[in-house]
Amino acid sequence: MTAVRWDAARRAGRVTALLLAALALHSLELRAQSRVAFAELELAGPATELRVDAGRPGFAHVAARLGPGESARVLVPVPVEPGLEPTPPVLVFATGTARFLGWRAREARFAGLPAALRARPAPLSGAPRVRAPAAVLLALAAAGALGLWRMRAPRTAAVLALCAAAGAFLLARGALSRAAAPIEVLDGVSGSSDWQRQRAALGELVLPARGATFDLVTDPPRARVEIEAPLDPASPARARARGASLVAIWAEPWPGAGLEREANELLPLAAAWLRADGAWTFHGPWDVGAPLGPARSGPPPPGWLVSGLPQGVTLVVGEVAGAARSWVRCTWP
Amino acid sequence: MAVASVTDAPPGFAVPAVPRTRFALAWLLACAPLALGWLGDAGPDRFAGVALAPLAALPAVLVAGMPRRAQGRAPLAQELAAVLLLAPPLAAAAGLDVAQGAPPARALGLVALALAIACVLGDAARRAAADARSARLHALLWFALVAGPGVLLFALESGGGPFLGEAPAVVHALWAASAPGILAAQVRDVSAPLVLAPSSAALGLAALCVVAFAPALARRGGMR
Repeated sequence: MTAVRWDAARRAGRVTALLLAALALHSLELRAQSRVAFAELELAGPATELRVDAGRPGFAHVAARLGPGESARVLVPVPVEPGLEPTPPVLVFATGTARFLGWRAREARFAGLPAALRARPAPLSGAPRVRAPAAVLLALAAAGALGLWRMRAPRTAAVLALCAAAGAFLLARGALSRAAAPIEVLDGVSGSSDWQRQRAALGELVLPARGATFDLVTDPPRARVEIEAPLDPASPARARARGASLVAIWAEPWPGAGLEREANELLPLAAAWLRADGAWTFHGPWDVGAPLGPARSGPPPPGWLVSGLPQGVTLVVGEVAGAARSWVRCTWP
Repeated sequence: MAVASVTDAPPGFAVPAVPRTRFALAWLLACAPLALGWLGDAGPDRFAGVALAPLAALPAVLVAGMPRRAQGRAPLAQELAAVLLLAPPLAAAAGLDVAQGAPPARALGLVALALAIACVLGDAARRAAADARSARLHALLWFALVAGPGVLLFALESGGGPFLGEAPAVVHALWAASAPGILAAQVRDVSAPLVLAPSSAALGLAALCVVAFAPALARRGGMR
């Protein structure tokens, strides 16, 4: 009897372990899956606003200023559930008409990106820490001590408190906004003209220029996404997901020999690091047209930038000069 | 200052002062939410999206209006200056909220509301400190209408856990109308509009008036 019970317990344990493993694999799989599909729509004016509702995954809002008799065929990124086939969205138009023509596949350049590039780790979205900068804390401490000391002189204490409050508000507001800027990484493989750009941010992300197809990955994987897609090419499209990390991935054409040891034909780098024979060396700034400088003493490359990169190959990474939080990674054969 | 003469201090005795230690403690507690982000390591912030201004205002409102010993009324100007001392941490928290995506009007409006409530409750505590009877009545009302509902709700629902079930609706209504309850309702989502039902606002205003004026009325009645 006891043996039978043990067998049943062992079997139940095995099934639970399998279920847990499947769940973990599924969540890992979801983590890397794109949250957008591209809907081809035909719009007819007069039209101003269109809401492409995808249900639980979110919606896309299209600002379409079309006059009477005007029509347009547009490709709109629409939020979808990760791991599921997208279903036709619901089109809500205040005026005018819209027709869903179908889902469109990614452009050939993006679909043809080497698997080695697609496997590159995404940049950290630079989640802003909700904390007051040290300057604010120091200002508060000074204002608090002075205010308590001058409490018997109420007018002085009140003026001091109001001035400190205005300063603390402005300092705190400015400091966090800077930390919340997006971060970009351009990845390439020497010899291939198909490069991959990844842009990450927390909460809100500017999407690639209209016409380009891309992947959008969110963390948490099922975060509700809102996409703002104006038809005006001058205004960029944006994706929003409250409290979630967003990463947009798309393909860009750059010279295949853009970042060679002999010459930099890509972008000016404020700092460059080379990994050869498993060891990282710092090479300082690398201007366009110049060869890679000699190794010198300097800081190590940022950990998030080089972790998860392929082993056994020579790699160069760099920080793009003149562009805030923009980086490059390239493998050499 | 002219206002300093409006006290109940007997002639020849020192003018009572606002409780400096208590306001220092309120100031420290109001600064505490600003340090939340310093906890833990890098990575997605657990506190992202949480509104810090109402969180910082909670201790300010509670401590400023806490009942005081019957030792005479401190000058009103001192009381107001002491409440204003809490403005810098609240403003810093509002700044972080705006940086997180809160509309500035919401963040600064909340700070103004919290300071106004702290002024009313602080002044009530100051006036009630004039004599023992008022102080006792004020303490009772303050606990029943300001601090008590939250404590009771927490004790019933979190402390009691599943055994006591849900707190009665009246406790929920009192908590939603109490000053800490109104502020706590704004904490969850920094970018959401203000959460304040008209009935809670009306009840909250009534509760504030009772705490502010009942001790004074009782004292007048007693003097007659």
